[in-house]
Amino acid sequence: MRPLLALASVIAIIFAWAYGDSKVGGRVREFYDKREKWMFPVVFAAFFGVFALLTTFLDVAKLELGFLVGYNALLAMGLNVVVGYAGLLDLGYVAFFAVGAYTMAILSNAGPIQLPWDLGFWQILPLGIVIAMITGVILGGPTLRLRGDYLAIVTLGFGEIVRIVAQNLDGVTNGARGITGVENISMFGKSLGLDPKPYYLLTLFFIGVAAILIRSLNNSRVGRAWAAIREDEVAAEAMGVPTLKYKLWAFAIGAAVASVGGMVFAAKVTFIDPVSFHLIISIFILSAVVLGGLGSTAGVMVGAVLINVLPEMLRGLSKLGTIGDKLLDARFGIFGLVLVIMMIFRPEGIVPSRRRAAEMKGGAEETKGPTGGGLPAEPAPAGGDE
Amino acid sequence: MRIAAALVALTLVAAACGGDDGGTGQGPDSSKKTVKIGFIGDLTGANSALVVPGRNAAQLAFEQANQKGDLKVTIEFVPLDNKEADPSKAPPLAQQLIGDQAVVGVIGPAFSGETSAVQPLFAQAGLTHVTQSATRADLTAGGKFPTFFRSVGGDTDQAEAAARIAVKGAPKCDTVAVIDDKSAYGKGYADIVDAKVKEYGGRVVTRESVAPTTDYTSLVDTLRSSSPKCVVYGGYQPQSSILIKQMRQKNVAAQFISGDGTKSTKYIPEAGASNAEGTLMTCPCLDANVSDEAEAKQFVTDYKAKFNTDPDIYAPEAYDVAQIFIKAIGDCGTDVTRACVLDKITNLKDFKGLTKTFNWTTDKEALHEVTDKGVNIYSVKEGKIVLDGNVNDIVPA
Amino acid sequence: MGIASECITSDLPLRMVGGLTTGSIYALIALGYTLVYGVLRLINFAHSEVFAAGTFGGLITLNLIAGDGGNAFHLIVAAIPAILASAAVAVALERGAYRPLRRHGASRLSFLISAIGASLFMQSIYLIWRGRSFEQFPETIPIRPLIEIGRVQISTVDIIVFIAMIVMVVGLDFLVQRTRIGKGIRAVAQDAETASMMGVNIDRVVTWTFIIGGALAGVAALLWGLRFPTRFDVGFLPGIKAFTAAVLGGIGNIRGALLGGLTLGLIENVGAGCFGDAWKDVIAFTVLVLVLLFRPTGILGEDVVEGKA
Repeated sequence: MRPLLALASVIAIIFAWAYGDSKVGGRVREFYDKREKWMFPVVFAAFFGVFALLTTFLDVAKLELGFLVGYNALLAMGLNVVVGYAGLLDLGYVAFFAVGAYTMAILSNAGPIQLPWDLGFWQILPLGIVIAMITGVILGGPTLRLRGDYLAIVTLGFGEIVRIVAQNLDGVTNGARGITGVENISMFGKSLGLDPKPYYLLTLFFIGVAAILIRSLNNSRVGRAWAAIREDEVAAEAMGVPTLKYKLWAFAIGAAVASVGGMVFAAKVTFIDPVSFHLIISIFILSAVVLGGLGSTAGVMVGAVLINVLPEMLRGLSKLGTIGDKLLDARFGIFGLVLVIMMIFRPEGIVPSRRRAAEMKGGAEETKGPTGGGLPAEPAPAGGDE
Repeated sequence: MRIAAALVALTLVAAACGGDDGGTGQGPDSSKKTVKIGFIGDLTGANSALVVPGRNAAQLAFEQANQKGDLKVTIEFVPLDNKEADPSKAPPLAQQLIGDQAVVGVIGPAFSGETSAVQPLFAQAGLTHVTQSATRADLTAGGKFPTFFRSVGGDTDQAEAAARIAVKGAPKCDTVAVIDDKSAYGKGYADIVDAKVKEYGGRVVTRESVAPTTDYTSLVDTLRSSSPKCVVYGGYQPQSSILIKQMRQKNVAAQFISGDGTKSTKYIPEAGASNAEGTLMTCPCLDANVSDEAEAKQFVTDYKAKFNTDPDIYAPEAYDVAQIFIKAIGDCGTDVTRACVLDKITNLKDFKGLTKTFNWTTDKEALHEVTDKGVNIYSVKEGKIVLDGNVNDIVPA
Repeated sequence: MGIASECITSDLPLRMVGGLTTGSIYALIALGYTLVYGVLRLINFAHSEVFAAGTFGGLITLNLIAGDGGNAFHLIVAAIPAILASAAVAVALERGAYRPLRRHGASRLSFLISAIGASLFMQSIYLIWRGRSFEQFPETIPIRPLIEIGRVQISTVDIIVFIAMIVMVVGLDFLVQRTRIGKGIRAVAQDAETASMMGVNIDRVVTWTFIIGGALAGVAALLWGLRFPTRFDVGFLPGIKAFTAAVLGGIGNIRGALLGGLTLGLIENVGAGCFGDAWKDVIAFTVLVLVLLFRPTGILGEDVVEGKA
């Protein structure tokens, strides 16, 4: 049974890939575009229906994996806003995830600080989002003037600083020991306990909400500003677009989404420590975004699934003995290789957003100068919708 | 439509995803019902040297029990790998064991961080877990988790022994540097050493927290600056080897003391014999290889026969834990349930194992600790780790 | 952990020695970043793995020829594989991960993502190849202190590292100023289009830049191994810190790399005395962030203006 499913999924991936640029794909796209107004809610509902239904087929271990994929997908969506829409490479993105998780842990009185109020998940949720957005503005504010790759390095620095501070501030975060006993989520007066199923569904819900919100934003003035900034920031500025404001918006939204992921994570796993917020997680999420499709919401979710599920499949391979073990060890290396290959051959990702695909192919021709493409081109062209 | 394609891909990939980690050790008598004992620990990562011996020893115990055939059931051993002992990866593994109703007990988790992460889960599920090596003090504080048992002395005991040896023992250190590696275990150990050294009249001249690294230049400079007579390190191999090496290279001659995290066969080779010489280690563990007891010797023989190597740290302890489960399962007869196992283990009295005689504390402040702490002091003498003896025999409390 | 008064009593001269030694290694690695940046305006994020390759080259060679300890001669012999290994990885990176992107006219972001991917990939190669254990070079040069003035200790290794670094920097300066390839590098760094029109082979210059940067990292790797063990992930922290050093001194500027490296080494070691070792890495990251935010041109300055090439 399983090999068949594996084969089927490989075929589906190839199908999604080809869809990106084949003529058939083009016609399908046209079909969809003409009817987008009602197709989107239908597809959207179908999508979530299927994933919710999956819970009846999956056992506990798979539902745990489903939850893992879920909050990773949420994080990927958030990073997608920052990287894919606004074109800002945030290598310290995990810091916002950490902010969400620690906010949940600390405000629910599980940590060393005891507040006079007894707050539950749903009360902390809006607080966490606000705190994360403020953090996003604080971290983003000074850095957003910087050029692309410098921005990336600074955010990397920030991410590491946040992690090490969390590790050292015993009085607030309990330092390296981490915080245990974070309360589970309660709904309608009952605690959800430890069964992953409700968390999986809840995460699905958050993904849905985030997807709708992000999509509306992208279709609004904000999204158009992002597109303008991506294509030519200097021109956008000249035209009067307040680029800094919209970049901050992207940062803040990315932070908010990540923090929701962090809060659900903390409430489910009930234990957090600085180890969970290492730099490699930022790169991991970035891999999901790049692999799936920069600027494409559906794409990054595919990316998140692949990045998390494939290693699990490899785990079965460890029955092959040491080779399997080593493959598992090397999974970050494989992701690395995938990143390189994707950048060279398919920078728009597996499920590309249409704009980006066009940019990636067309833009290359124009920017080749007399040096025969000797030097890298200027600010990141990116496309995004969905 | 693109979403539909993505959705199809996602569904199929998700459904196709793989791997359940199998267990080992099928019993010879397949007509018996099978119960499972789980195990959680870092089996393949950086600290696996401290965990794998325990896994092996438990496996040996269960195979021996199944072969003997006295039990009314067959025990299947299900070791789960929590690579790098990542506490946040432990809950899903725990969940996996909890979800499998055949699992009636768990050995471990091996490390304190991951134990802390899963205690509430196992408590809620009524699943007994007995750790062979998670020594952090606060794991038993408050008596919140009646399903958790610790089969070894905790860090409170271990660290206190370190402080005692440093200040009152042969080194007679009036100035002490206390270092930890920022890990939950290391910091817990170091904090207690810090407090106890002060209590015993010593002076803590340096108190630093350094994340595992290869470059200890600034820490060693600090030590040269403060010139402590003793340096106590809370942390793991290989960091302790790297640290002592760089200390000795810069002529920091202080007495080096560390805990069970350092007591590994790799410590001396990686530090260099001359650098490691004289190191003292506290360990609530028994090194069966240097014991004279008949049972210990038999264990070493059996272990060697099966695994082609000497049983390293925490192997005897894990063997004892496995025996405790075997006894409980045996006492439950044919009706082996989680509740029965929990009951039998909770009421365990005077169970003689390789490492100690087992009785549990009932004090809520430190629930289900062993009453016989068995903290031993080991030292590096002439390129070998030797057992100096129980700390109470060396330096009376 | 530490407070201000501990700064003053933290034995400044003692800590400066360590700072200069580590800083020398940062400087050598930083040169690799700065050269590539000068020529391509690219951050070679994977340079950390170029450095790591050198440590393995040196390690394996020394294990072979000086397994039970050796002397300076063995060290010099081991320098060759170390340099070759680093240079080889550097060129492989250039050919495999960067050149295809240059051909496509890819954006800087793509380069950075590709570099990150390449770095991860190399690290896992090292992991599979060497495993997780730390591996130490056999001792070739005694690390024990040579000179002791009060509590200040200077060991043979400290001296060798510092001198080697100076020699390399002087040599590099000579190479860049006097040789043809050096002129090519300067030409491309200054104005690639014009250089190309004047007949400079851009690809060759780029390749040589990577080779030279790699070779320097190889030397740094060998010197590193004199004091510290190596592992698959040995490159990460020194890499980030060396990059910080390059930016601190002025990216694209050779003397800047030297200055930045030594300065960062000093700040780190002395700072750890002030604030406690727990914060040591934070110091480097904070310097990085502050420099990029407030003085991205670095101490010696270079034309790095936001938004422009």
